[in-house]
Amino acid sequence: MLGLTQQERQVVVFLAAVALAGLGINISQKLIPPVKKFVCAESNSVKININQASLEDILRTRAVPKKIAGEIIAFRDNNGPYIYLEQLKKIKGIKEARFNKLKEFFFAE
Amino acid sequence: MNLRPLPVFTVVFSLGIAAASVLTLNPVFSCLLSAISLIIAATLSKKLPIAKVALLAVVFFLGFAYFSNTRIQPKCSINQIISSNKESITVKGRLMDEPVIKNSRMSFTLGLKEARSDNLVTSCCGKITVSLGGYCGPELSYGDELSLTGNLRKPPKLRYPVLRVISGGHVNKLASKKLFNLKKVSLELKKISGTIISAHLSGLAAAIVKAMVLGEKKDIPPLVADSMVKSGTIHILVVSGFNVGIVAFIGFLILKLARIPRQPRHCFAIAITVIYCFATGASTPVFRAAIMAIFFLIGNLLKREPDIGNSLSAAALIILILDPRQLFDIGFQLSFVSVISIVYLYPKLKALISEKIRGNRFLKPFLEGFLVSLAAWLGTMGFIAYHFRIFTPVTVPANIFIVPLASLITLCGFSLIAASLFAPFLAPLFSQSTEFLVAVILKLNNTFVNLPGAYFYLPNLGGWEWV
Repeated sequence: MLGLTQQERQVVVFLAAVALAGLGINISQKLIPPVKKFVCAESNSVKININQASLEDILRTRAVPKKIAGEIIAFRDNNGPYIYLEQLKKIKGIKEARFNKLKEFFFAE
Repeated sequence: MNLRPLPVFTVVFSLGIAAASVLTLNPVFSCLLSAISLIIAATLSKKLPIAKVALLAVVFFLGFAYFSNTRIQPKCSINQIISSNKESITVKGRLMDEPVIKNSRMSFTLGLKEARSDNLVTSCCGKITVSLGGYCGPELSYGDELSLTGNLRKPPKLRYPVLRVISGGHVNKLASKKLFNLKKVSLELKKISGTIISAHLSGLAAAIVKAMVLGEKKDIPPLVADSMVKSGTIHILVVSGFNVGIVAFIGFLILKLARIPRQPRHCFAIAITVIYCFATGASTPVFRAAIMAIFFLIGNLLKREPDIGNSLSAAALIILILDPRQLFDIGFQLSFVSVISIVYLYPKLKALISEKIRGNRFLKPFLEGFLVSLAAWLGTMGFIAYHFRIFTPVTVPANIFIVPLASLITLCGFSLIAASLFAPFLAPLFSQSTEFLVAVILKLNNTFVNLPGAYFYLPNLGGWEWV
């Protein structure tokens, strides 16, 4: 077919299949918006919700020392769940550098 | 018995390196022993057993002397000139790689020419790692000459001393050398490919695809890496032989479609493999795979049958000659042990399965994937348990599903780059598929990690306590 070898045909078939799958996903997202949640790699899917994190979860990240990890839990217990992750900056000992490190591991929901 | 001398020489050379790390012997003395063994091998060549032993002794003492020699620092080395940590030292040198920016800090390797400390200017050599914060000056790239002032530290476990330049500290770009070498071309291609991937995929998907295709791991979220260590699938985030194979195949195919004759086609494919090796940072797994691919291409060109034992040994020998310290690097150990396990264990494991099951068309792909993963896991679990203190029973089933998906993502990543360059209107379609596959692989990985008994952390035991 078209003077292509079997290997070359397999490559063309693969590329066509990927393009077709991409087109299908694109159309599904437009017609059924909730599909986007399943087809996009979300950053939050690999982070921990700060409102559900235990002391061990925070310590395991090595982003903050034990005392500050305790303060994070205490703040949550006294003031209710975190609405924004930026609320962590209100805790003594968490400045920009530590906050940027915590942002890699946690989200607030 | 068909003996391959190259694997034997490689093993003996490695033993020489290992012995040199444990024993202290003057390298001149070990060179002398090597020379004596060589004379014995040459003069007693008719007495085969003695000649064989003498030849192996030559290789052993060469490995010993070679490693001992790398431990001797030249007089101009920064380690000899600056014996301890130094506050406020000014250095001049050339960028040896592309700067990497992570958490607002830029880091790169600097090849030194001059160091100034306590008003004393000294010519020096060697490399340092520079960590630069809050840099707002002109763009820095491979080959630029710089002058920097900072605090020099010598962390015991790191390969090079570290120069930490504080935010607002002195950084002066002296010259921008327009290098045109293979490494520069490779790094430019890598930058272009990275830009294409970032433009078409979400942050997380782009980070994962860049790691798989370009060997750029800096944007991988720590929790993703941690999760993949727990499932024993972290190796998919490392550029490996599969990627090198794809690049060599794509290059070969394009040249074949362009009706390039056989001999130049092989030469171009070798050049493309070398460029990809440089572009991905020439890490041990990529270097190993590139050397093996080049051997395969040369063998194909010369119409000789490729031999995996010889090509693997040649790759190990070349890497150890370039840097004998690689023998103790976990990346080197895992890269070679996994290939050796697959080559030697896989046929033996396959023979244990009944022919009826092996011949089943539907079971065959899953069975082969399972056996390859099992062979690699059996070979590497000891190393992983010792170095990372983790035991992951879920590795084999996880790899059966995740490795084929990772292979698809890699293929889609390359297709996305090619589409962006040659048919930009198709790029969004390839990016959608790639994004979807990344989402699936992350969800699948999380599922495996959350299974009961998926992984265990091991206690911190010393070397002999493991026996």
